[in-house]
Amino acid sequence: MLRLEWSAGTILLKGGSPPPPVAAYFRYDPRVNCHRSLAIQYRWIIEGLENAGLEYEDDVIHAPPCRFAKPRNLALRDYQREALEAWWREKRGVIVLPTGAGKTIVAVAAIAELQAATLVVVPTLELMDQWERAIKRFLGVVPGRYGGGDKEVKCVTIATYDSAYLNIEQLGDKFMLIVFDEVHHLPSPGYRQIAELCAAPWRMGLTATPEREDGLHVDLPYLVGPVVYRRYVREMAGKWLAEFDIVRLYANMSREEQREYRRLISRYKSFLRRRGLKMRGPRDFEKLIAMSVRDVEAREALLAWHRARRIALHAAGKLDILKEILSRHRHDKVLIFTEHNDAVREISSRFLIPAITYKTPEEERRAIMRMFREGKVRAIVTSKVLEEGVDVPDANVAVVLSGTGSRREFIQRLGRVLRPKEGKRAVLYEVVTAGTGEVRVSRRRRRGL
Amino acid sequence: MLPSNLLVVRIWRGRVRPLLLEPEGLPAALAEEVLVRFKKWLGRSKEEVFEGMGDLEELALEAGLDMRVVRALVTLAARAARFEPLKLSVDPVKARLEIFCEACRRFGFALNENERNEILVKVADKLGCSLEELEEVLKRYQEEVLVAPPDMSPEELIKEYNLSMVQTLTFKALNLDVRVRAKGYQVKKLLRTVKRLGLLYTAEKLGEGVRILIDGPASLLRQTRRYGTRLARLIPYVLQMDRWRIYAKILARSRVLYFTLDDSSSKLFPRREVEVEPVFDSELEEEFYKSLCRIAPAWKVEREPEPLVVGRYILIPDFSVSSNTHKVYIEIVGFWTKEYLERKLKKLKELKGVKMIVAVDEELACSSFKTLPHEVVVFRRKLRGADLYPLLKRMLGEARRERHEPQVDIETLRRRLPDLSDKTLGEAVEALKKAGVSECNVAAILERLGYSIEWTSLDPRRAKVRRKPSTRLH
Repeated sequence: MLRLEWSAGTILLKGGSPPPPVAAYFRYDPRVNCHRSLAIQYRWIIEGLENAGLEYEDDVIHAPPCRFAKPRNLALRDYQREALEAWWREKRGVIVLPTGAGKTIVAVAAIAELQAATLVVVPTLELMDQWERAIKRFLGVVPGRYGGGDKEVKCVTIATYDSAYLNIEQLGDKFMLIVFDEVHHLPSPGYRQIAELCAAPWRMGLTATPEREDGLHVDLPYLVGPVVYRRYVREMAGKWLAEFDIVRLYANMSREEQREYRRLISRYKSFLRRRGLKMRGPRDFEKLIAMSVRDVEAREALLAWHRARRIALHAAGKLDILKEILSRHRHDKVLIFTEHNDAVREISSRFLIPAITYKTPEEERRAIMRMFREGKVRAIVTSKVLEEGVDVPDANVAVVLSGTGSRREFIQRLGRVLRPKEGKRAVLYEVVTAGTGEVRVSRRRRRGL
Repeated sequence: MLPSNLLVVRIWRGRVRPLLLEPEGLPAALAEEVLVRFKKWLGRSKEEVFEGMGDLEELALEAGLDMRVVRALVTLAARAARFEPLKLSVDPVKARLEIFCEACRRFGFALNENERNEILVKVADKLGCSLEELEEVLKRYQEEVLVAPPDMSPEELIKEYNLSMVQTLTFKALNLDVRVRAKGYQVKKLLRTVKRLGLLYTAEKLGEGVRILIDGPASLLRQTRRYGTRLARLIPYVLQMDRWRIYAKILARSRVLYFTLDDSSSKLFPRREVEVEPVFDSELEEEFYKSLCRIAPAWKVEREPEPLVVGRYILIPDFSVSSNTHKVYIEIVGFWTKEYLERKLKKLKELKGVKMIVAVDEELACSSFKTLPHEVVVFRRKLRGADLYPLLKRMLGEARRERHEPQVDIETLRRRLPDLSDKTLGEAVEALKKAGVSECNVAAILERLGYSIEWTSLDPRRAKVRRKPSTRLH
């Protein structure tokens, strides 16, 4: 009889050649003398064999035992129920909801309904903590953690993308459902293997913005399924999300900064002119970086551009504006975002505000987040760590002191203050240095709204 | 291994070559300068150390060398150095949280110097530390400082760099095609690692050596670099072999490039300490080896000799016994798991074209072993050389009277060995084993090296080795 076996991210077919309905999924592997398929095909292989009425033994999934109580206080909002129903039809696909709209709850409801072993994949340790709290609260079970030093498989297991990528050969046969939080990370050449080497037949993707600048989101239907439900920020603000304002403030460079900025930019531009180079996009810029490792002039030009950008991003005037914003919001909860870690450190030290960067020790990061939720500190300054997922309902002021032109980054930073709360009106300040390339960058990222 | 942005390669006509350094000239000078600075810069933070090397990058760039070379050398040196967190009299995490809480309680945030000062004074008072220490806690946030420089020579650093470059390139490899001529235990080590890392291989015979093609389960279905980091970990094993050549397909962007490297570059890489002799898998094998050595000194007995190719796999027999004209392999099948036995049986069944004796423990001697196309000997618990002697004699011809001349170059050996006079025989045996002399030949070799053995008791390991006074004169 035909027999399907799990083998490190793939499925082996023993006891014969693949019959025609499933032959397309398999290839003969001379190394082990039988046919092999990627684990992602498991669902289609089973369906193919069932539909053809063929007999087979199935030894692919080895799920840990699972039982949880009926979820308590799990009241879904209308759009959450619609999203769940849309996904339920095929039990695969991507749900697109703005940050703060409660995507986690939709996934938790699916897990509760299926009563099946589930792997949740998240981008940061912060989100891992958050999912852990949600699973405990609604399903009444303690989830396993996989990543950041932990390696524990339970009925519901939460893993970071990094550890799931590294360990999918051991994890891929343990779950019936796999949930990708912030699923826009998944199509990258490395992370996509989590989906390809996992046998889980049911798949859910969650995100506020599935589109990627590199266009790889076209692979999402293959990896998790198509977009099955989508709502936009503007449809939901005021009812399910907090009302918000975006305020742009211009900082001025000091006279010295101005002089230095112009000098550096003109050095950079004259190099481009001399070499007949044009900067039309990231590809051209990568070429300049490649040149700079062997070409002294190119390196100087690149350094000049780099320094100029830093002057614009961290103009001293920005800190003065930050001071004004802070004095206006002494009793609010404020999140401050900047591009570079040394700026984080400077702001933290000057205003005595806790900082979270990727270097912050685990213990300190947790303490800061807890204190922020409890109101024992009322501001956090961070670089890129808190963009995704931090759940602090009463944070109501975001300050983008510096950033890239990425629309996703901007939407996510805004999303951090949009969790709804009675009578709340959020505000996002964007501080931009006048007369520099940053003005254009800011215009680019706001197109995402 | 290095971060991939430090990988320096040249691409030409579909071939990719990492930039390897000779331990001389400019690279050696750069490596030396890097190490000198590490020694000088104790107490500096990691960032300061890296920033301080900027002028060397410029220097390399101007000399026409890639500046990433310098950064790679610094990265590797930093890895071998020791950095420790800044020592402070207060717990920095606790102190910081205290400051932030106090600031929040008092003002929300410190908006000017006065407010800031007020808060810090209060916290310093509470924690019993100075204001300067609190400033350190805030400003030198999570710094690590250099406490011990790397213990390596410029040449070692350059060899480490070369190995790292090859490994970092291999991160992007789709597969690894290894062609080697090596001893059995060296190949065994490689293949054990292949298995431990969850990789797969197929093998074929290639002249006097073997070709081993290594990739992972999903490689068949996907062009994937997934196994690249694991393939990179195999490289050091290959570099230790006698003759080797590596071919790898490298996936760069969406283009496949070819990478090859062979033993003509051996001297560019570090020699890792590896056991010169294989360890015995069991006491059974060790006993057998010793007894066979004793009764048939004319034959050359080798443990884990060269690998044999069976179908698509490799079989490394436990022993080979050779006379001047013939060679016989011996495989001992003792107690092991069921899966292991099944695999072994399958391999042995397919093995053709060599003379093989399979010695099977009575308890395992199921009928399937008896059908093997080899000489099968059944033993009970213990296997002695004498048990196989008649069979070996028939297969190899009479064991000649004269002692087998060990194939060792005495002069080379003399140079490589420390002075053994007045050592115990036990110590001398260890030293000779390290130099590659098999235990069977120790006595003969010692004699040829100009030593005699002085027996002080019945325990051979306590016998003394003495230099024969007259040998030098002959």
